[in-house]
Amino acid sequence: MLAEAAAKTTLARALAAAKKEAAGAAARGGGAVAVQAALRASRGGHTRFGNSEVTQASELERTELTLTISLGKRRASATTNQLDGAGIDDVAARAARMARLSPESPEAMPPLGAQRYLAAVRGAGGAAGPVDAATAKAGAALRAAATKLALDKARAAGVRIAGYYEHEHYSLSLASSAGLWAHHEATSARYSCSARTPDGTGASWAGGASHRVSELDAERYAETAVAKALAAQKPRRLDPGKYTVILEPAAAAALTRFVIDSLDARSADEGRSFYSKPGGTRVGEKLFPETITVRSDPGDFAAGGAPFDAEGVPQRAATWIDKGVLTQLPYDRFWAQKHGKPVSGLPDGWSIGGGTASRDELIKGVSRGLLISRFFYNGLVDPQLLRVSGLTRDGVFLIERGAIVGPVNNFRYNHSAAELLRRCDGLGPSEVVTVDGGSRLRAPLLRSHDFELTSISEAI
Amino acid sequence: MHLSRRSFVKAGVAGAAWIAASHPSISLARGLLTAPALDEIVQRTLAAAKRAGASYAEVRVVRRRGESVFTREGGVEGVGSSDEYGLGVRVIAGGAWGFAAAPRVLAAEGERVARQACEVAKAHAALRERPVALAPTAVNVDVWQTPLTKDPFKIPLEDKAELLLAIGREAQKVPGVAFVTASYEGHLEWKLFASSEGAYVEQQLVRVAPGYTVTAVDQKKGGFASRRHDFAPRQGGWELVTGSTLLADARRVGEEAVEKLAAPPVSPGKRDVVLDPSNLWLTIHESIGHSTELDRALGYEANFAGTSFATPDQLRKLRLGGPHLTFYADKTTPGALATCGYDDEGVATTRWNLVERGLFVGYQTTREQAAWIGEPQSRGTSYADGYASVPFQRMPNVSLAPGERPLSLDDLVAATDDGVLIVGNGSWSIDHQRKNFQFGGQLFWEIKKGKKTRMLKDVAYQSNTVAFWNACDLIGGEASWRLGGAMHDGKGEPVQLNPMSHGTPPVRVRQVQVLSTGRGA
Repeated sequence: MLAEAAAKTTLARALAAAKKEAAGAAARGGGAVAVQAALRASRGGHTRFGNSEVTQASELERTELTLTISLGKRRASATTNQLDGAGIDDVAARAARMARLSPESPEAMPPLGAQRYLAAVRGAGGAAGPVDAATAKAGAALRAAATKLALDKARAAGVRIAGYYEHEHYSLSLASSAGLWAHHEATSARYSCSARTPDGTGASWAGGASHRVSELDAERYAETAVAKALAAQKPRRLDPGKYTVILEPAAAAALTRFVIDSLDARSADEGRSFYSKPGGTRVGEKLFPETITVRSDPGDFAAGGAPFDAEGVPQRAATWIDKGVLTQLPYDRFWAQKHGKPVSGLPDGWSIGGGTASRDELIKGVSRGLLISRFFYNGLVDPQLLRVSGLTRDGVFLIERGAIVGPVNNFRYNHSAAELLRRCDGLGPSEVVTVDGGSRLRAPLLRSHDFELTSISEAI
Repeated sequence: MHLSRRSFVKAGVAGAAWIAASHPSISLARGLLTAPALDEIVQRTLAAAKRAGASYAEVRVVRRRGESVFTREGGVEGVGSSDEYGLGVRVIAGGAWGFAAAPRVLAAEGERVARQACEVAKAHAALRERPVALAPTAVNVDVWQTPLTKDPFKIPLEDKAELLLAIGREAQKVPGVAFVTASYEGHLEWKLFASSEGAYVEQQLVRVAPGYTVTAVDQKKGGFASRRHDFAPRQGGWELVTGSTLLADARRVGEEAVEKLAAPPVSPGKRDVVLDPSNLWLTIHESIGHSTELDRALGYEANFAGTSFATPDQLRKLRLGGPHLTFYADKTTPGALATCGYDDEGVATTRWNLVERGLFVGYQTTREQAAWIGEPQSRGTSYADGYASVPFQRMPNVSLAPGERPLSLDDLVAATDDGVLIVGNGSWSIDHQRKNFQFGGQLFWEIKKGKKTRMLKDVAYQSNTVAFWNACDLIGGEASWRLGGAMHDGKGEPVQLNPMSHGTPPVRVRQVQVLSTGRGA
């Protein structure tokens, strides 16, 4: 992490070096010179444990400076993690050399100039800000304590446990020869653990993510994981088929992520998206029930919201799917210019709006169905239909006549993420979960119907 | 970082006395290149770890360079160059692992990071059920580098962009082709490994990964189909790119995308499948490669990647096919992505069987893991994807040995009465114990009475690892064996990316569940 003043000094030095190199390259046959720079810096640590044993513990520091030099329509980017004078000079020279040698890019956009970012989310500080002091100061002792809780609870219950705790304090700073200056600092943390019964018939997972370590309840996660592994033990065999399902937030996020990731104006316009229709896009169409609303919010720090994207495009809270209607699609800078649309950049801080139903209420409304904890290895099989294939894991429970009756085997599913939302008839509270080991998303407990489970998975 | 022929300065370096008495002479090395200043940093770092209480320490100084070019139809979308350099220290202190890393390769930083790694280890030491113990290994002092003819980082950028643009032009000559995206990635990994036991290994690996995808769109009906070229990334130089058929294939690949768009969907049901090496390598990766990682099998990866059906009690009992199927692991196959001289614990690389004539016989291990299954030595599969990454067990090259009979892909098709031929990789998914899997492909052909009859689309095959390999009855011979591979296989938390190759002949598998994945499925 670099404080704003230090980042400014480094980026001023980098811009100066880049301009000098770019001017030299331009003199040897380039076009108008433009330069932009991005500086990422982070400090953090992680602890891993598996088979009830600590396996990794680390403290890390990372930096990355990216310089993009444009010579007319020729453009190249170069990165380094060496921020001393020689490192900056080297990356500037590399970027200029590559820009000069690059063929022209028809879609090259000039660097952004000065921007206005939402004051409420710009910069660091404050209890309500994106930087949480306890998370910034977190270290090995905090992680070891959380790990000990998990190991002790697993030992007491006679199960084995695995888990992962990571925290980070990071910054992203942007500057350009056109006058752009953007600086954002934030903290992030995530923790999860998985328990397994000694007979190998019960497995579970529990965890969460936030920008505050205080929101990660290590004790509750460990208790949930242990209890759920025991509850999932000795599953009965159930045939595949179409079922009413209640997806816990981690499972709902894993599938609805495909609905969010496909939100892109260009691919829809080009006819290669779920949001395409013959001759156009589906903007304005009611795709899902009124309960489904998809938003991005730069102020939702727990879900990874930030005031600007990696290019410096300002972010505003936006609704993309409003009460089931596709209201708009995000435009990158090139596509927005080409079509005379406002630039959205790459929004973050995504959420699928939750509801007020409790878990018990959702279960009570099911005559026969399944409660699914988590999905695994979810792969897009058909991008136009948003058909995804993957597997359940860490606890599938049969519901009969409004009550959980016991654990059942895992399944492979082949189902459209869009159909999941189209058939949704109940939503519980949302929570922040990490998807595919990376980005964060706020997703709800979600009930849907006719979910296609296509084969049994014997995995536990 | 300056590389020059290194004079091995050992005498007088702080901490050298702690280096194992059996430290071999530099004369045993084939010519290390490390600058003396770097050697001093390494030795001071190791000495600081010892003073801070480490019973074992290793330092890795790693530089990773990358170059990328992306084109889209007729234009260049992006050109990038990356360079990362830093120092990571892993220690055992109080019987527990600790790791710390920083991007400044300086003696004072090395010493600070070494102390920090020891503090982290000690903070976790009380949680260990048993202290970390490492299997013995030879104290290797050596240098290794990728054999190559043309350093890809010295090839002008215009040449790389022009190749991709030429591919785009060729493919777009095919009526119906709407989009062509093409890319080139070149990677260089330089690393110096030194341990408190006296190992001192310097390696430089170079990998190239060009590729492209052609998309045909039917704007009237609203459909589209894509075809990705089957080029396998390799370890080596630019000669692998210029010696390839990437450009020559562009029109055919475009024509295949158009044909696929109009092709009928497959009729689902149990069918014989004939799998080209360009498809099968990924099935081997997921079903055999990941399932034989010992940490997975014992539950160490349960929180993320999962576990494995191939548990130690199944060793020499579980059948994963007939006697014609032998899967081996190695980090020695020339040109394969995971090939190197030594792993990231300084263990010399080797080749061994995972499945021998159909019987499950072996695991991938590291120095810590070998004793878990009573083996005397590590198999040499430790890897970290950068200076700031903790080394852990990662997949080597895992391959299916060719059959004894000299059969070709055409022979397998000719021997099949009713089946589907699958080429290239599409979607893929496998459960967290590596049993239930489902794989798509790039191209599919119906086989009737020994002949390819027509192209199909929307095909996936779904099976169970054990049943699948036991239903494999025909495999190609040595001449049909091909390398596939992945540049960015993920494992661990935080996720680390590892490149590896998988060699295989084509195979036939009887009565596999074939799914139709498209509209109306």
